Amino acid sequence: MNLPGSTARHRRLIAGLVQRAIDSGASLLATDLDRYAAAEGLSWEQLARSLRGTPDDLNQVALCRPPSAERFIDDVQVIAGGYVDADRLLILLRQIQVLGAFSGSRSLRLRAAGPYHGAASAPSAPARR
Amino acid sequence: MPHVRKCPKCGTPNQNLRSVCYRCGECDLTASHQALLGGEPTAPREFADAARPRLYPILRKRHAFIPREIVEDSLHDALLAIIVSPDLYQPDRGSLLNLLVRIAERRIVDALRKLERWSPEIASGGLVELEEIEANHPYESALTGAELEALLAEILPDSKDRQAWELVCEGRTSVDEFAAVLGLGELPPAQLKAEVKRHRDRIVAKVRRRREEFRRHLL
Repeated sequence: MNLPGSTARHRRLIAGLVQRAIDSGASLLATDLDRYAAAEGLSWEQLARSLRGTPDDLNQVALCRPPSAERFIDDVQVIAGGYVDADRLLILLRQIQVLGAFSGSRSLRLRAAGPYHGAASAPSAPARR
Repeated sequence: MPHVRKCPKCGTPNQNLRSVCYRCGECDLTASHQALLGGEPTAPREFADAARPRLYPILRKRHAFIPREIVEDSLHDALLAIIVSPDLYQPDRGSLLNLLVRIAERRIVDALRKLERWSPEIASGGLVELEEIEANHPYESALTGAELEALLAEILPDSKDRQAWELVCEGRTSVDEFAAVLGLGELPPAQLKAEVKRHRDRIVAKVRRRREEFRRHLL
């Protein structure tokens, strides 16, 4: 998706921000998507392709918060935002949600819809990969 | 149905669901921070889109003597600090952009301390500590400013050079302005221009050398 300001530097900075979010375990989709990709043995590019997007498109998705439980489908539509296929993203996020529920992990922590009420958990110190 | 926001200042509809109004230079950052507080799922993306184009040039200009990698990491940490804890920013205590700059500069100082072993015992490590510092002392940046000033003074001991460097960072090109801060006095225009160029090149070269030294430490 060609967006305003979508320069090489812009893309590099967004990719850097996503990596930093993953490294610090920030409560963003970046963390969930990275865990999923690792568990499935997929590269970031392969995961992006499976959603009919590019790695840069997936970075835009990764910067979003997980969808809220109450508005899951609507939130996924907004998160996909023309960057990736919304239907495929919906399936993927549902899958991550179910896998997370089975494993008892905190993967794809569903948020309650509504305003921010303080950080649920602060991320740990970022570590360089 | 997905909600489509409008820019609160100019009313531009959000056509591509990014919610950031590119026509309006002032409202997007505040609006995206409000969206963060409101818990909207795309708010972090919008906030990053709104803040990055303004924050990055400020950091690059103010810390041109520091390797790009450190500046970019500090940018990311500042953005993530607000994304994770949007209530760190209290509007009655200053501008959001200022807070972002200060968080980023703290991270730069941390990185420099690690590199230079200035004072490892007080180097603060992570985002959590950073958030705690910001929560307790959100607008204290004297330490950061002083340390960065000290670094610049180390690179450019002559105060005239530092003033000239400020002009370089601000993108100034006026020969007269450079001549005034460098104290070059009365010289024929052609000679003055050549002298200013010589000093400017010398100052920029010093800064670049130091930046390369930092980079060698990093890589």
